Amino acid sequence: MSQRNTPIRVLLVDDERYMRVFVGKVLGGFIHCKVIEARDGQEAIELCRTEDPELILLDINMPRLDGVQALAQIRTFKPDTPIVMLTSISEEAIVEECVNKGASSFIRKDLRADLLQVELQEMLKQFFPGESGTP
Amino acid sequence: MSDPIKSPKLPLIKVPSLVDYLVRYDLPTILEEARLDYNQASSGTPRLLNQKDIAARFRAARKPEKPAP
Repeated sequence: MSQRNTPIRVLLVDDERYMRVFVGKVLGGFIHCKVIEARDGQEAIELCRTEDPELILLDINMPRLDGVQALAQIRTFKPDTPIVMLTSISEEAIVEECVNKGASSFIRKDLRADLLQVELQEMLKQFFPGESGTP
Repeated sequence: MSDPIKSPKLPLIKVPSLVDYLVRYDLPTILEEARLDYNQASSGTPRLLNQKDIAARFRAARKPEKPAP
């Protein structure tokens, strides 16, 4: 499959800066992407409208508006964009809520760094099969 | 005239035996309650899922429903 010339627009939503840096580096090492960063759910919704991301990575525990609420709101105007919950919360009830509100995938970010990297790469292969592997 | 030495009638008190202090546990019932409590997201301690279970849950949600024959 041929690769596109323009970078994939990825919205990375997390209130912890080190997490945004780490995930941004992993993504950048695997696909040709432009990472847009947001620190909470409210900012994520605004950036979704202005930047039109093609992939959204969404933390849950954030100030102002949490990730589950943001997910529900983003889904109303972006029904087909992959939204991946990236969080250290792993309660079954929360996972179910994310499934019901239209999350595309769910990755525990409290995994060991190398395992988290593998999960992120698998996720990219799933949503961008022709793009991953060569940034 | 009443007898001053005669004591008034006292109600009979049953002396407790060891059997009365025994607590009987219904182990099968307790185990069943614990099992339900553990497996229901709405009660007891929240059940935490590992990455493999979470991925399986999302795969199941993505699976298209079988078309009617």
